[in-house]
Amino acid sequence: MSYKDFFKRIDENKVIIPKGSVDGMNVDCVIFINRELEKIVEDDSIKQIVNVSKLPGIVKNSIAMPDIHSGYGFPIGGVAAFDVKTGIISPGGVGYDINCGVRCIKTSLTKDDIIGCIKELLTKIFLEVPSGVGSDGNIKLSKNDLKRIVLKGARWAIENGFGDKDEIEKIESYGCIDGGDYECISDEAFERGISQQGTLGSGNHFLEIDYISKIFDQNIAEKFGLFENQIVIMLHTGSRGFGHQICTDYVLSFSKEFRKENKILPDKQLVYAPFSSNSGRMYYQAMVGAANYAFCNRQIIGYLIKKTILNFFKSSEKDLKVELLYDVAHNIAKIEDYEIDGKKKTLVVHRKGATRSFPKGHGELPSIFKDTGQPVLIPGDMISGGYILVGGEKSVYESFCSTCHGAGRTLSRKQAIRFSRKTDVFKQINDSGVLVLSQSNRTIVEEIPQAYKNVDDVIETVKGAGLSIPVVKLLPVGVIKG
Amino acid sequence: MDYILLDDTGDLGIEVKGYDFLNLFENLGNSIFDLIVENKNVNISLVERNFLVEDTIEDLIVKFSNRIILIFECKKIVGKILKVDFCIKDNRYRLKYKIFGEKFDPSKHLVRNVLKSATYHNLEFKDKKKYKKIRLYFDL
Repeated sequence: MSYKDFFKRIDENKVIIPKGSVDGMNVDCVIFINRELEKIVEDDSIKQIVNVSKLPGIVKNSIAMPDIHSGYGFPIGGVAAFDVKTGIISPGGVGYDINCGVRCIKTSLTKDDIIGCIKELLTKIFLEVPSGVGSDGNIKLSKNDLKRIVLKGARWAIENGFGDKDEIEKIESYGCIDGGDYECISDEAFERGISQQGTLGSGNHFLEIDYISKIFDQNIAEKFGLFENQIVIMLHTGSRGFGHQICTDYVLSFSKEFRKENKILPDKQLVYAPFSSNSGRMYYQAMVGAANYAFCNRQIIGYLIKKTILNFFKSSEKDLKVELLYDVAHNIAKIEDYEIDGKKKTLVVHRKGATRSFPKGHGELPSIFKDTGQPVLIPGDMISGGYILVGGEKSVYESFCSTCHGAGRTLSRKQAIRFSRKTDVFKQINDSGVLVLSQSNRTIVEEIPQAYKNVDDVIETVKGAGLSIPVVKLLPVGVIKG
Repeated sequence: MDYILLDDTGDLGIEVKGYDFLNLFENLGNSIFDLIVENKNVNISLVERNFLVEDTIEDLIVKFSNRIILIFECKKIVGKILKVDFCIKDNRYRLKYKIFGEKFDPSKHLVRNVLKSATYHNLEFKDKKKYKKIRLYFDL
């Protein structure tokens, strides 16, 4: 018996598993997936989205994006909203790397400007942005600094010279979510986080130099300041060991509470606390602290990238534009208002491997994106590249303003290594013309394009479902893997 | 090193056995260090010791594994040999550990995996007559 047997296809981009298909479901599961992606989706990840539908206080649907794959507790690519009064919050619904996200920096450079010097430029950035194993940053912080970062997020970075004030409105939640509390964060988390600000990390984190290879929506592209052959930088990283430790701490403490109450869960990583409880509040405040840490981390790295590019081309900010387009989170729980059955409700929206996708006119958007919608940043694999999209209007009532976050894995890291033994992946990367730098060849092998779904299928699905609309396609010329 | 690598979408798991709790936790700790860095170039020039107390064996497994990740990430210590004392007292699981190793040196120690967290995902602990076994997954 496969969970896919419960699928009821609604249209080309959406299937549902109706409430009642599996015992204990409180709501329907909605999976945005086309027929091609349906063939390769893992049953485990579908089971996980069904498990999420059983959680107390879940509102409307348990939702999965087309890049869904199995995670810890919630699947990656999962979205679930809970009533703040009657619902829950779950560390498994946010993920270990709290506020893992993507930042896009646009430049006034074109592909032709950098093609002859890509190796030198990429190497320079590689040296300036610490990455890889246990990478420590060059920024020395005290515990008090870290406490201020928990409260201020990217604003701390800007106040300390890492960037400009006008960048704040180009970051989701203006680079700082209210409610972070360092008293809810363990000493171990501080110990892990203190030396990692301004570092990329390892695994699937990366920094990519791309050019815009295709424009789908000229009008929005112009409003975003994007043009064909333009060089943009995509940066993917999060809250590093700080967020991981917070997730680890609260999974353990919630597990202990579950045992006291003799509650049974289908998956231990699905532990939760009522959002309105003391434990739920403490996790939320710690999670916000880690989210702010990640906003600060990407702000500092963005500043380092800008400084490096300006130095490399011996240019001033007047002559060479290196500007933030947008910065999004894709592992987070946010408090947002939605109209449910005609009534306004305040919900805690969990997005785990899912990107916020506010459409034009949304009240929380800054004026610069009010008449376009927010930029949605979706990386793909290191050869196929990614997309910049804009929030789609249907996302409001279909997915709590959420869309996909990437291509989504199809091979485990071990399978990727096994695959690489049969194929010369370095030759393949070399032949593609993309320059890849990493502290470790193993990381490159684990992150080969074959380990990921076809990002074009994922984008076609979210476009077809109206969750977000493609603006431009990106192709990499140089990649730094963490 | 006596452990088996397990497959999982995205991340990495291990299966570790021991003939008693002492042997099990020593093998677990040594296996995690071996997952992080190649053990053969690690020498012994320092000892890191501490203890943990948890309500269940599963919590102790996860906490101990995360402690090793933390020791590598924050204290930059790589272990060569790990020795433990284990007991169950007042229904609580108590583990004292000593890690014999040295400071991480990237020019000397080959890093294999960057483990970020040990998880409860598909966590298994089996207490058989002849052996004890753990299956544990890590977020990378």
